[in-house]
Amino acid sequence: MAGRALRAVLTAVIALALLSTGLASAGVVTYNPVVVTGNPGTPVLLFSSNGSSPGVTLNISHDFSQMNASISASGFTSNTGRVSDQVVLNRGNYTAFPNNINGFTTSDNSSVFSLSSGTNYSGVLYMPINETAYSYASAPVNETISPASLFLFGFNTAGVRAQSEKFSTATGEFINELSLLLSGDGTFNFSMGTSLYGSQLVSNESIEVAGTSYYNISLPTLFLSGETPYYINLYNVSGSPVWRSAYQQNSDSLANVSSYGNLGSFLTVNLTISFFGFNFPLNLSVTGSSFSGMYSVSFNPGLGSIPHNGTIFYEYGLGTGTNWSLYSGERYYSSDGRFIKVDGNNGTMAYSVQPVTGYSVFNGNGSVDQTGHLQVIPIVFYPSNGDAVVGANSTSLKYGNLNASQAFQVTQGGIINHISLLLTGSGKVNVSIGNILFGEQLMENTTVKINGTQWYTINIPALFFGGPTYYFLNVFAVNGSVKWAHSRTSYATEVNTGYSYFYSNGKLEGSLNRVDIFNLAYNSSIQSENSSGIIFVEYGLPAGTLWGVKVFMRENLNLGSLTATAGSLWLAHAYISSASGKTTDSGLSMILSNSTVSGLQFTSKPNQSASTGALIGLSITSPLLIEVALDPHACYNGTETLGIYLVSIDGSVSVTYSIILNIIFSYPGY
Amino acid sequence: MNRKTFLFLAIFTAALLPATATAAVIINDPILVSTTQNNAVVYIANGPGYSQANSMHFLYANYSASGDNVSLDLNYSHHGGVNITNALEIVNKAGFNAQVWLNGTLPGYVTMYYSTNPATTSSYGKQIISGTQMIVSSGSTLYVTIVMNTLETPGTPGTATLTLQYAPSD
Repeated sequence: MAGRALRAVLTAVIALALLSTGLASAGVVTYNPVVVTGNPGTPVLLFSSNGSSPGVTLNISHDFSQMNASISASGFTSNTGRVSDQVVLNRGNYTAFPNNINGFTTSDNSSVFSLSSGTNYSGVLYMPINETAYSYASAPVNETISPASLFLFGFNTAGVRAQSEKFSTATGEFINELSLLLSGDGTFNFSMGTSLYGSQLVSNESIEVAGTSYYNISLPTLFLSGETPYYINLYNVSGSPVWRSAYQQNSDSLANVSSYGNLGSFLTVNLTISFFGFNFPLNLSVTGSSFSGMYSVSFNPGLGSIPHNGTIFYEYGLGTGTNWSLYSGERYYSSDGRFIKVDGNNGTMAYSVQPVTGYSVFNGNGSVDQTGHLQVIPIVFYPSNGDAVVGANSTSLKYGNLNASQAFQVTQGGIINHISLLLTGSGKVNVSIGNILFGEQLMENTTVKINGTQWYTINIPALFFGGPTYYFLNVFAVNGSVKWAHSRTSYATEVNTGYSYFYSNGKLEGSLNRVDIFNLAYNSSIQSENSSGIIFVEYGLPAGTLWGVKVFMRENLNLGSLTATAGSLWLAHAYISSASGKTTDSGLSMILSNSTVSGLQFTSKPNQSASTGALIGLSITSPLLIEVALDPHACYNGTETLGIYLVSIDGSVSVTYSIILNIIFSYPGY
Repeated sequence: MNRKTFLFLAIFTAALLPATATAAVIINDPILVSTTQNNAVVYIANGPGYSQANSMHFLYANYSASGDNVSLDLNYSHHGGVNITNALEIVNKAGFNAQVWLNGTLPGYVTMYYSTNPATTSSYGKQIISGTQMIVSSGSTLYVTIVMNTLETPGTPGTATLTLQYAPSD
């Protein structure tokens, strides 16, 4: 029994042992020792943040999948009725957006520029877009046809053979319509030109007159340079047509012909001589008139659109009639006027302004995209030798009390950055420049310490003048006893000066018989270390229209670097996706670079994928540097969420890593 | 049973017990798993892309002995995604074409694809839908690609158990 029992036990043990072998075999699969821990934190890639930088606050929460970037773009907002506006900015890259103006569009929604040194110029061209005709010069404005307020003059006067109205527009404008208030019956011939009775723009157009009405005359689309005179000319051909006229009561205030641009009226009459009761015709005589023919010079979008392919190079700073030229598209263009218009549809074209003896030039070389764009490029000349653009000097001097202001104009436009004043005495004065008497719109008060008789100089950021509008150089006493030298104009050498304003017995007086001694010039050796000027010049708006630009610095956010910690990963491509906000206007681009291999930088714009071309190896020794460039496509305040996706591959595995950026756009003055 | 015989059996049994314990260590080696899998006629196994994904800690596959069941540990939780081409394969060593079903529930951010040729990063093949049959020709292999997409919402590491069923195809 015991043997049987023992045998049975041993048999069971052996069977159990054998069986346990089989059970253990099944347990291998269940408890496989080759265990992947499944730890989600096991790093394959490591992101190292660079943290915040000037202008950018970067917060990263727990990993690089959630980052908040708070960005305040540097910039400025302008708002002016002048034809130009200017600003001094730190050197860098900027995007500029012209202000929206009802009824107008701009040739480009934005422009990108880089400020490195000196003064830079950018033209802003506004173009009418709706059916309303925009008047650029007229006399008078909104005058209704009323016999009580209007005169039958000019051709209604015996002997008048022709009548001409001289006008100018505020800035460079496109026009395609002329409106004349005419009466009577008959025929006029009409011309338009750059000289009295000239026909450089339009010649011998016939106008049939039948009764009192505004007669709208379609013109070819013409570009008129701003602030230079043009002439509308009517010649009587047959019948008794009349150009209805209004009386210019005050040539300064233009009370009855109050629109901007009306510069004067001219009549051409038969000059006769009476002799013993007989009238003998002699010759034609041109005479100025205190009456103005009623007219309006406009652009009417209903008659056609402004051409969209080409460039207008607009010259400032040369004397009237000075010839200048430029080379573009294997052609030379030249003009003795204010602008050269180059039509074309040839994409980006280089241009080069040819040297003019005695002058240096801004914007003399560059390139412009002609296709789909009509741009105006300011070309600004200044005397190479530093000669005064505006000023007066004399050897016959007197010294008068402050406070005084000297009016001046820069007839052909130009630029200054250097002020010289001949002063005497001891103390301090404030110097400013404005576009109204004693104003300081262009240059705020700058205090100058005076000690003895000499020329005192002030270096300022470049000031640009578009045309012959009057400005005022003001000198006010701060303390002490200081006097400003002046001279009788008959003893002085003066350039572009106007009235001299001063106080006499406490009363403000203006005089053309005296001039204050000063010089305004451009000195090219004066440059700021860190700042640079940008001057925006407006074209296309009616006089006095408020306009401006918003300028934003294009920031580079240095986010950090990415390294591979497990094996080798290779970056294949990257892209940015807008998750919220203005998806097409996020204005971000991405720059990736790898320090160990050159030529790996590329830029990806929103919702676009960019391939690296050759794969970029990622490792600890070759980190991928990640920059995001804030390149505004629009300006607004708001928040955007963007995903930056980096796609790496290693054999069979491709990994997409995302960096989620919440960016707060905050633009000054918007 | 005489005493000698009993003594032999006792010694043999005593010797066998440690040997059993040793064998338990040896048979834990995954090579034995492969041997088991290879013994099946239609089974699921690691594909050519598995090794890389496994070394990067994105995927671990745990198979049943019969080769008709696999448990997957999927490890990616960041915003983004991981695509593993040819992570698994379904092998048909039977002498017949097989209808194959791969059943199970995947985390919402995981999608699987199959292809008759090895998948590429630009072509994963057709999407695998639980309960829908696939055909594996006799002597052929289906390649399975795993896509973990957490671009919109980060995933959480998860496990999915997939069961392979097959039947001779008509």
